[in-house]
Amino acid sequence: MSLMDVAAAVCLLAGAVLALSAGWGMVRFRSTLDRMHVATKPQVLCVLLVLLAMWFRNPTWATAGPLIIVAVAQIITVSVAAYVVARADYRRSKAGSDAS
Amino acid sequence: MTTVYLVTMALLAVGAAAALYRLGRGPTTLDRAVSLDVITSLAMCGAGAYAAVYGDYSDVPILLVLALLGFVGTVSLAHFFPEGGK
Repeated sequence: MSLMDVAAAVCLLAGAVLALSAGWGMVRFRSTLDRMHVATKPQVLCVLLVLLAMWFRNPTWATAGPLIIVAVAQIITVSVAAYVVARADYRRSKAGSDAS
Repeated sequence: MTTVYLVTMALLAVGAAAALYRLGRGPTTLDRAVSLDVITSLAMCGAGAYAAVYGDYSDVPILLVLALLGFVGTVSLAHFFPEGGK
């Protein structure tokens, strides 16, 4: 096992532990905003670590190109989805507190 | 490397099972949307882990499609979510 393989293994395991923390937070946390908060961090960082592991296993520019596109798309879409969900939940909670 | 692959897949499966629990349980539709997003990301992680361990990079387009289209359902659901609704 070369140094790159060790780095790839560490990245994969760190990403998997982050995924586990996402699942734990999804079960444990109380409100929708809490769960969204705990879900978005691993959604970005776990995928980025796995993409980094893929690059460590085959460190050429030809593999780096699609992986960079995937990483940028994931960062943009996760932040957009989290923003829209948070806005919908905020409006829902505000309407509920007004009605009661 | 196979051990790393198995441990990674086991941890991803546990996380996905927890998200699946929230998908079935979740009090509001937004919770279910968030947990579906998490499951999509974990599927991306699984495909990427397979590619990294076995050196088979033919599933990079799957990652690209999931990254670009995985949020469409969440955004449309939250967009048409009624105020004060469940």
